[in-house]
Amino acid sequence: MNCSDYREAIQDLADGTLGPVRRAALQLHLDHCDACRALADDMQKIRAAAESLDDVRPPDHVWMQIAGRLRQEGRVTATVQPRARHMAVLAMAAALVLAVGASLYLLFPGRDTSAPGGAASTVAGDPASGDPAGGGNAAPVDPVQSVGEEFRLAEQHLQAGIAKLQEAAKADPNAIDPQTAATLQKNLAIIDQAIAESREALSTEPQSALARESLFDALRQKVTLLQNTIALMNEMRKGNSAAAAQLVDPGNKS
Amino acid sequence: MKSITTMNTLIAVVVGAPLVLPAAALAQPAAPAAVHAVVPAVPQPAQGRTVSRVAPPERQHGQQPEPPPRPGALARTRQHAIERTQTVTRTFKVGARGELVLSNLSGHITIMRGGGNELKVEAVKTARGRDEQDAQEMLDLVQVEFVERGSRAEAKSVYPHDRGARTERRNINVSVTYTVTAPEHTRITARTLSGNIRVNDIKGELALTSTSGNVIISNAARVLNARSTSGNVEITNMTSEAGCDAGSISGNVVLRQVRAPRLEAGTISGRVLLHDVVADRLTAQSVSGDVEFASALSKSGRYTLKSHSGNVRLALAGDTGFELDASSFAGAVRSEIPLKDQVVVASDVRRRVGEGGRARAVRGVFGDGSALLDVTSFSGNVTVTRR
Repeated sequence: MNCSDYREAIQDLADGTLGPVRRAALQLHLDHCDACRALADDMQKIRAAAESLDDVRPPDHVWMQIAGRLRQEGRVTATVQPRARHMAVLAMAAALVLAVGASLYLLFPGRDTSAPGGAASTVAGDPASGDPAGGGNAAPVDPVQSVGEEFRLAEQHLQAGIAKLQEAAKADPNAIDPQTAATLQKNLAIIDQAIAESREALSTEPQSALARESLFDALRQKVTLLQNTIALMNEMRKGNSAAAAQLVDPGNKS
Repeated sequence: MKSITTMNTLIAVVVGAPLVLPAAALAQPAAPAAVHAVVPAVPQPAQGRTVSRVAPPERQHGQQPEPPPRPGALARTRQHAIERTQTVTRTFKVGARGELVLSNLSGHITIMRGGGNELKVEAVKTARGRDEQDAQEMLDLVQVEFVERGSRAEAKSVYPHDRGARTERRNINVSVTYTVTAPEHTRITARTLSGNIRVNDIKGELALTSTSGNVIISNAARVLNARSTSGNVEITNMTSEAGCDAGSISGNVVLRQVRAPRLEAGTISGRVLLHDVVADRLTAQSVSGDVEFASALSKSGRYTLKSHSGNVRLALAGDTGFELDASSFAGAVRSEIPLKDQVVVASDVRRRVGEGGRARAVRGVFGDGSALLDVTSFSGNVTVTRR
């Protein structure tokens, strides 16, 4: 094989999509070919530079359409028995969280920091996009009321996602060793406390952008923690399963 | 040439009894080259390699950089005083830019830079049992599996459940401690469920995960991610051209002398400490812990630092201009750095800030305002000072 045969593999290497077999073959070639190694290095630099760029946010109406489609398909409301269809629950939870993420984009197209406990203007859209309503193509008649409704909807979706993830996490409580389970539980409690405090703050200052953002940060953290919990459970089931639960030493932490 | 060396050292330790014989470890002849080799945990015939000794517990792991985690609750009891160890080593010819994937269940992982193109893995299995037979039986149940595919090396601790084997035992008190020397630019993925991961002087891409141990990295060049559930994550002295993601759930995340275009550091109940960190994009977050940033800012950098109930402190070095947007719902915000166009939002309109009142938001510009600082705490304080 000559250098041109490795071009695609070098591209895949930079993209992180190169499989182990092709990676091994490519690595052998790179060990001996200065030109291709330089190309691979350049590709990695380009990738790193691209990663450092700000995310490009799709227009709000795209997220609105995604969220609407998911709701139409019932993927955000369906229920499945966790024990009977565990994997289905996990997949659904993932879909829910995606839907929740889309809703969050609706709610926070851009952070308005005019005042932590500020006036109605703090929730009125994305100044960067020039959209005063911040609601994409929803074109609400009353921006404040619309944002309030989106806020409620987004929170509902997050809570629904959390409920599903919690069901999945409870499906096999013995999958994780007791100490790790206790750590996760303790930190879930910390997040729940943050959620409760943020809710209370919102009840006293409904227009506080900081309180609202704090609530959604905490809800997002909870989703992430539950996802990590389920990933850990799956990891243990897949590979180390019961032995893992038996072997982790609760007393060992340095 | 691929070589495999099994150093089967069986050490029976009786806690509290006098030293009977010094520990001895004799290397086995190299095995034939193999692409895929599974090293069984079957003990070698005695051949003078089985020794009994009496040693205090702290002497049991003298050749290891740190004592391995005790692999099971029962191991802490006096009745599990017999310990047996077996050392397995394997050398891979991975080249200067090879890859290592290491998967462990219970035990520390230490990876350091070695010379040449070879990667050497030493795995020390440690079993604790009621008696020698019990310890030996457990030792036999756990295997260290090595796989070599081109420039990729894999090492994995395999327990009975992993290979679908049935065992009468409820507890298998075996840990495996790995010590690896690898070429400088080796790409490494390592994880352990219980134990610390330490990596030093490796410039290849690192992805490290420990569930209940610490992840400690020094002198690295590319940390893709470093994560722990209940341990700390520490990265010291790294200059990277790629982004870096460091996170824990209940542990601290500490970055010192770290330079990368994008940095993310997060924890739920631990602290985030960022000292002498250079990044164009930085996100640091804790739910209940403090977040501390003591560094210079990058021109045009974007910084988001937040905590729900912890304090957020910035100690800024250098003269890079920035635009500050700092706020706290229930805490106080204070900037000791004079700002242009400063706006201070008081928490109570009836009380002036500095006269019994507190500021819940401070915004303003320093210098050319090129860097953006978005700093929030829900109930903690936010402080911006000079370093």
